[in-house]
Amino acid sequence: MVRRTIFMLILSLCSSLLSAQGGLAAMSEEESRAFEQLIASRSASTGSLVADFRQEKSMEILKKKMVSTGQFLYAKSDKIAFLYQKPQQYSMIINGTRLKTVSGGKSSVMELKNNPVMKQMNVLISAAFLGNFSAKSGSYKISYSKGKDVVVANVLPVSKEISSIIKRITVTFGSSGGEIREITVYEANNSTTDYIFTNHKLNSAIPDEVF
Amino acid sequence: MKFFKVILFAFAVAFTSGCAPSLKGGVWLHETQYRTGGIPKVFRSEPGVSSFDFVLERKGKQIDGIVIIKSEDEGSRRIVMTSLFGMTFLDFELKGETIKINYCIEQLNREKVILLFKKDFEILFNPDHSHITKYLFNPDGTINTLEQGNGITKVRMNFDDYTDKFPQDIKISHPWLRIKLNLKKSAYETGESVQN
Repeated sequence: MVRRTIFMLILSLCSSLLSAQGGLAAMSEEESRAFEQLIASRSASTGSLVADFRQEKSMEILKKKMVSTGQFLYAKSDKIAFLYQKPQQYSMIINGTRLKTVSGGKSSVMELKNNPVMKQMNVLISAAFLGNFSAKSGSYKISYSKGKDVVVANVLPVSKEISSIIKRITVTFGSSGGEIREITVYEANNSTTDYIFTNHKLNSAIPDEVF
Repeated sequence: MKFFKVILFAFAVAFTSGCAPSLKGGVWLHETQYRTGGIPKVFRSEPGVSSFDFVLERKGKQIDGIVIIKSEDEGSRRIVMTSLFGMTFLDFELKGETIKINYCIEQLNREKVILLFKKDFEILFNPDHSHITKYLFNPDGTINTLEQGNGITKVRMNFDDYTDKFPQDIKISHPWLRIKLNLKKSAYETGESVQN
């Protein structure tokens, strides 16, 4: 009995230490709903977004991360562009269900309906901007945690097909403004890709030709 | 009618299998000075990491990405193919003639596709691994083009833009399957994210 009590005490101490290290605490349902409303109202007043991004891919095979940088564009309601500038120019543009990539001056168009991963990625990234995570809860399980000045959405795909490729995605928002600061994709092969967004510019004009 | 189609197909296969690689002006391995070994390499064998941008084309559709090759030693290599957006497509290891698949997305997980990649990379690492190969050499002795196999198994590789005796630009084509895999030394290797 005494042994069990000591064991439980150590266990609870360890878990408290771990959660303190992570600096995140689970949000209550009420807090989560309030935060979703914040994102939704931000989304309603956002026609476009321009931000710089830094992509860092960590792989088991590499000691260092593969780093790319570029510009991220979003235009309501379903247009997203990742314009890579370094180390090479490359574009990935989503316009509705159409995915266009431009590499070395050559462009290639793919229908997202035929690519479940990109389709789900599109749904997820768009959901983050539109604030409709709850509406997509049939596809994903979502829980929120809060830190000092951030809220982290932990998104677990429900579909077996998607979870065999993506284990989970975390989206880090600024807690007061609701802006996306970072998206981390955890792949099933234990690679992770971080997309870090900075210099957010809301509602600036983006030429339609970009998409 | 179906019977005739089968016979016709059998003839076509037999005919193409009987043909030698068609590389004009090419020489067979046994006609070169390298019949007992020592053919110029097209890929560094020292332990380390190399990365190439790749474009995979099939019937007009293309996929872009990066292929990262980690050499443990001459007989053991790990190959990871990933999209520029970050998603991993394929991760496998080649050791001698054996292949170990660490990860493969469902869309690529077909035996024929995997074996095609296996063969392509085996040739890349050992351009003399089959004696049924024809070569064209550059004036400096490096390999310009090689062609291996017949009919549906035919593969042609062009090596270009040599730097320090190794090509920076490699074009692999399977004419019968209408598949092309182009590899170009990646900017990631010299940029901020040196991978070694």
